[in-house]
Amino acid sequence: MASLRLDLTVPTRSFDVELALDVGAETVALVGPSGAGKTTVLRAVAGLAKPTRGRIACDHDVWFGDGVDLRPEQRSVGYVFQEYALFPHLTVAGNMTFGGGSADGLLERLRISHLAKAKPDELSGGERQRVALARALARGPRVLLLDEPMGALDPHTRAGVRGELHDLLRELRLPTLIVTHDFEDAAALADRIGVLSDGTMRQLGTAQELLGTPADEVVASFAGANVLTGIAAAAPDGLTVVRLDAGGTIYSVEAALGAVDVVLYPWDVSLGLVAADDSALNHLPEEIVSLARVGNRARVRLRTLTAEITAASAERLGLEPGRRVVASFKATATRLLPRA
Amino acid sequence: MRALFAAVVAAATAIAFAFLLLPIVAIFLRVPVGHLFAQLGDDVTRDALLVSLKTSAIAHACVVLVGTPVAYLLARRRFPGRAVVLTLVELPLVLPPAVAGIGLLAAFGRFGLLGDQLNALGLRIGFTQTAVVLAVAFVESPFYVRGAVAAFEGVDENLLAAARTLGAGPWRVFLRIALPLAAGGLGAASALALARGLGEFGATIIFAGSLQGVTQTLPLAIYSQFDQNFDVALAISALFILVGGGILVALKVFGWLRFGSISPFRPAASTSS
Repeated sequence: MASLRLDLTVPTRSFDVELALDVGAETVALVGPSGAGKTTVLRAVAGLAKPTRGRIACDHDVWFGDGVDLRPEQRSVGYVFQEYALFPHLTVAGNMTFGGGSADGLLERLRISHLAKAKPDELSGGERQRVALARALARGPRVLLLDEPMGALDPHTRAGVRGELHDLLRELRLPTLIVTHDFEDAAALADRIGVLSDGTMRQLGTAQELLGTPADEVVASFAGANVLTGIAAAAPDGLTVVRLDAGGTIYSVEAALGAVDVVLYPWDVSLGLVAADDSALNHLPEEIVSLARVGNRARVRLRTLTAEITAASAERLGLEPGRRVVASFKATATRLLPRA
Repeated sequence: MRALFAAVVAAATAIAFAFLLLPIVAIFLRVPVGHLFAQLGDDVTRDALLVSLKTSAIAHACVVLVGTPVAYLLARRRFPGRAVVLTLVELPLVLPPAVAGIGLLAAFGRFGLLGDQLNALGLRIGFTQTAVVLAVAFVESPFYVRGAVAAFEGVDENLLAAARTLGAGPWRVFLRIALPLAAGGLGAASALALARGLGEFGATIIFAGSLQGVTQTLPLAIYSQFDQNFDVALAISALFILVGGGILVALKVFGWLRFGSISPFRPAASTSS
């Protein structure tokens, strides 16, 4: 059973990255804001950054620790760099065979055989990504490291490439670390997701776990949730009432007292021109700041939160920036996280 | 005020341009061009040309061979004292060449620092062609190393890292990735250093003397001829202008083709994006 075990401290300019993580034959995504130390973790595994302490082991081979510090060329990693770092003076075939090994099967598998003689600057973003992936896999690495593999792609290419990458990772069954700042990419590609902030792992779990029970506001906002701040107090019927810092009050089924973060997902928020008389307890008068259509959905940014509704509904209601609306959501849709 | 400013700038430009161009034009106007280049057949000129070509070639080969790894190290590694080393490398750039000549004499001359050791080995360096080579190498090396450091610094760090993760050891990373990607910048630095080395005068005359056919290089020949046969001095000067101008034009055309800029000091383009 292939595995990658990490337990390390790596210094960066502004803080130490501290991480302990066991990766089996699975894909673990490291997400978090830029500058959180995600890339530093990959560089340490590859041997490009030197930890001050800790241990890196692949199966039973120690790569770092116990007095061992293997050079990058002695480890067995397939590394896809941010922006791909293809050698600009070599052809696609030259890039692929740089590390030895055969290119043919992979070129075919990734449908880039026809590009073998092309130089990197003649390729599209999606093609470069496939070449970088093929090059990383050519030597048959024991660990795969992907740094923002979708970062340099336009949104249109992105969805297709994501699907292909997903299938490839499932097929390879290699311990894989993938760095991304996009929670959707992480959820689509990874078995587990680790949220990194300021060099520490805030939470590690499946996408469902991070969405359902985020450990703190960093995790919640990364999972795409609204995070509203307020002061919680007990209310009748066993509910909790939260007086929001931005104005207004809402009810939650979760128990809390004092300063809290209210976590609320955009798809649990509905919008109306007037407060509807339905089962939702919470109605916040709001104003539309901006509105973006994503396929058949519309992401509507309000003053203090974001709602996601169908594009058809947005059209029917005639929503547009500046329009006053009422945001409604159920008390059961809110999570309360005590604020430290 | 705006018009005045424009006028001042235009006047300064005109003065600078005329001042720099006049001496160069004068060399070609003083005697007919045909007569000028006939002087290159002169014995003094021929001897000087051979000495210059031989010593410059050897000195330049040494500078490139030793300077390239030094530049690679300085560009890639951050170590304590790096700034000191960089400054030291650039020092010959601001020294009067005469000081370089005295320094070389004080180090390698018969009564210099290593004089006794060299004597014991039966080596005499002062006032030989070896001295010319040392003098030329000393003054041209900072031109090459500086440019080469910039060229290697221009190579995307991630490309070298990628090569390492693909199993390449230091030699392979250097030869297959760093060197080809820095080649443009290295070539430019090499050409500038070569031009500087060919023109070396002060250090050579002090450390190597000016013996026709042995240590008298082209610039020294100009000096020895200008009060004996001014036309020969003019002819050699004209040759320098053509060679130097040719190198500059070649660098700019090359740089323009490669980077769309006319400065030869740009580091090599190397990013993959």
